[in-house]
Amino acid sequence: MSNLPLTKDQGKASRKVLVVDDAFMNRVMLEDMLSDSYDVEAVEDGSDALERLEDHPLDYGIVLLDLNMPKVSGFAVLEKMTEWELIDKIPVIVITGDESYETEMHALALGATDFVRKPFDARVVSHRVKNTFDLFAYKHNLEDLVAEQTKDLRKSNKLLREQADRIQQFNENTIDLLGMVVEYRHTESGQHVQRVKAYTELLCKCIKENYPEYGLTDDDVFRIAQASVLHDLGKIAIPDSVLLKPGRLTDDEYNQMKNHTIYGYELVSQIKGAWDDDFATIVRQICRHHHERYDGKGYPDGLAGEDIPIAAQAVSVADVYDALVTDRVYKAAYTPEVAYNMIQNNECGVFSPKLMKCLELVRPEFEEIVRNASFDDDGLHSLLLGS
Amino acid sequence: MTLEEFYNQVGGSLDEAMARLYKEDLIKKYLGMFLQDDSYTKLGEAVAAKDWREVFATSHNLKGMAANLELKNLFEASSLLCEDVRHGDPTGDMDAMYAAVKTEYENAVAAIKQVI
Repeated sequence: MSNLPLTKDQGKASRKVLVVDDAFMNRVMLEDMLSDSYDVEAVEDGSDALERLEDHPLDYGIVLLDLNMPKVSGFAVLEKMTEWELIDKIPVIVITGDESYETEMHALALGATDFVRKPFDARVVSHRVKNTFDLFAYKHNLEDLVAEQTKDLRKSNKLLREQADRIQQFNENTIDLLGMVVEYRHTESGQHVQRVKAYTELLCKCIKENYPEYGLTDDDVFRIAQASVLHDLGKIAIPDSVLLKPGRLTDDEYNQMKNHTIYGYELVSQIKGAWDDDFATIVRQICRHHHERYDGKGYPDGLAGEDIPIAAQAVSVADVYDALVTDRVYKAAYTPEVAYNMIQNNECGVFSPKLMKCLELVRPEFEEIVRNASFDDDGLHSLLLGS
Repeated sequence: MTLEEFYNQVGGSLDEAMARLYKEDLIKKYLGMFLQDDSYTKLGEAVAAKDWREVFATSHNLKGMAANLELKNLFEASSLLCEDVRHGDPTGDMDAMYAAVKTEYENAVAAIKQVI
């Protein structure tokens, strides 16, 4: 403890002692008592002290301060040091004669650390200065240590965050893959789910910004978009004879087909431990309800209006839009303009007025996606089917 | 004059002074500096001008130096004066108090001149 390493780096205690006293002899005596262990700088008024402390505060490890001085008093120096936030960094030892109790209390209240009294005793002065000096050096070292540890902590936090992000990315890729597997099985390409994801995200962002009543957060938007790729997961339980049938489905086959919503719901309900509860709920809502209609005439539950979860509402608009602007075995692609009008005119289902407003707002972005989409991407699909 | 004799003459104790300042050389050095200090001159001017704040400031300095140098008689005389004007106008007999300081100062200066 006696010789803590002190450097003159920023923020650390330095060894210079600033003596402030208008009596020449006091300055000389204090300098004599301290100059063996410290660099001593002596000035004769508070104004000189403030000048030095303002210009080079970090040069000084301690201030020895007289109270009664002709121009700027010791009290004024203490007040300024408080104002400059130096009083916690540079200890001040007040030089006093037989000052009153009130005077000493006043100095302490202004942040003075200790006193040296006249007549000066060389040993008392040097011990008092050393103790105060070491205490503050110790305090500064602790502060530096804390700062360093905080830095380390920040670094580990950053690493953890990066790892979490990576895991999140893996998770997202896995979910995407699952969605694509479903797509590859029937006639559409894996790109459909990726476009539905993009449309869903745009719609949800728009809902979040314009309809706070749904209480969506950025995180919700991200999760709904992610979950949207699984909307047709239930199709893996539909027999090839129905799913891949080139011609028109019979009523019975159509009813089987509709069941993909329930199969999907049941399937994801059985997935345990892979997703957190919120995400699992969103996936279930989307799988089950993305064919509901706002007028209650959809399936499987005939939910109407806002009984249909907002995530499912958004996915259903995205799904219908992509189906319309894409070539399907049973139809050619519509232009984005025709598709847009068909949806707005309730020709492909009935949707909430709020979602239709959002569709209007994000229409340019939707059309941008259509323009950039490569619809000739069944190469992978063929590869997967081995044809 | 030895330092011991000196302190007998100004009312202090060499042992006390040595306990605080250690070296006779240093004591002599400070005594020499005391001769250069103008607090006493300024005190005289301030008393003449009835500038009590200045009387306080200068007698305070004088008192501090006397304490440091173990000039006990001067310390006691200047303390009385200093305390009397600490809060403004004098309450005691200023002429007598100043005269006491003058006597002790002159006594101390004469002794210092013989010891250094």
